[in-house]
Amino acid sequence: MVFISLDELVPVACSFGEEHLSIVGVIMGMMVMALSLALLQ
Amino acid sequence: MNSTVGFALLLSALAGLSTTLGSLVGVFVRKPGPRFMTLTLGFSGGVMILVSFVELLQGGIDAIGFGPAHLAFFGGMGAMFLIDALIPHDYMAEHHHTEEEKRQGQLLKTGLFVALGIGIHNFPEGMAAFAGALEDPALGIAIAVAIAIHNIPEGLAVSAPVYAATGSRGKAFLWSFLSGLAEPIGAGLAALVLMPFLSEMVLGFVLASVAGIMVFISLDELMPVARSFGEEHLSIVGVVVGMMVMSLSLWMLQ
Repeated sequence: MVFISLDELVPVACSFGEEHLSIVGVIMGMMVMALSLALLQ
Repeated sequence: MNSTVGFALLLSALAGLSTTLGSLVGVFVRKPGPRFMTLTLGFSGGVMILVSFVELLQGGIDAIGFGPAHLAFFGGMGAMFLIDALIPHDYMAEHHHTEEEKRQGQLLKTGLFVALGIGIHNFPEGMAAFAGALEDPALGIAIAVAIAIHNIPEGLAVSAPVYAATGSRGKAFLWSFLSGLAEPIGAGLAALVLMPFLSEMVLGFVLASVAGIMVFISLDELMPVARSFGEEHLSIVGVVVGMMVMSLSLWMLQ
């Protein structure tokens, strides 16, 4: 999953030309995941 | 007692300055081309991503719990995002510079942030080596050797973007030297001032937010710049190798 994310998802997201939006997306994704992991605990 | 303190300081200094060894690897490669730059920048991204998630964030979670550690993690990311927004990327490009020069300005900023991140990260490491050596010299040596080995790729991580930006081996060397210097300074401060204030909790917050800072830098700066040299698949090779080297050295630290 890390390989797919770094080699495909993030670069393709960047390639749409909105580079800073892609990092916003990455951070939101991490936040949602951290929250759901916290709820699972 | 005094000689023990001196020994502990010396150990953490040696461990920290091995960061400089990593920059020598970069410095001695002659005429780095785009392939070399892509590999080493990807490498430093991989090093930082792995150490952030596996060591720093986990250390934060162990110290202050899952929720607070993640708050600190995203706090660090948010701070970097703000800095990024406030310091325009192309501040070097105001005077109609070429695409190449624009990239170099961005790279220099990246390199300085990486140096800062590694420096902040070396700070508690210096304290760890110091505290270990105070407790038991043999333990201190073991910790220092392990830290020294894992500082080598970190030094490369600092010097690669600085060298790419400035083309100066001296500057690349200087910055990785400075970020390594944080280690004995951390040990010295631990010995002199911070010992009573630096609780496990403060350290946990610091570790987790440094993790956020480093992940942000890797994804927003290092990896895109590594790819911009046009060798896209080499950059992921660099990332994977960086992660491998880092996990190996963390394994030795255990």
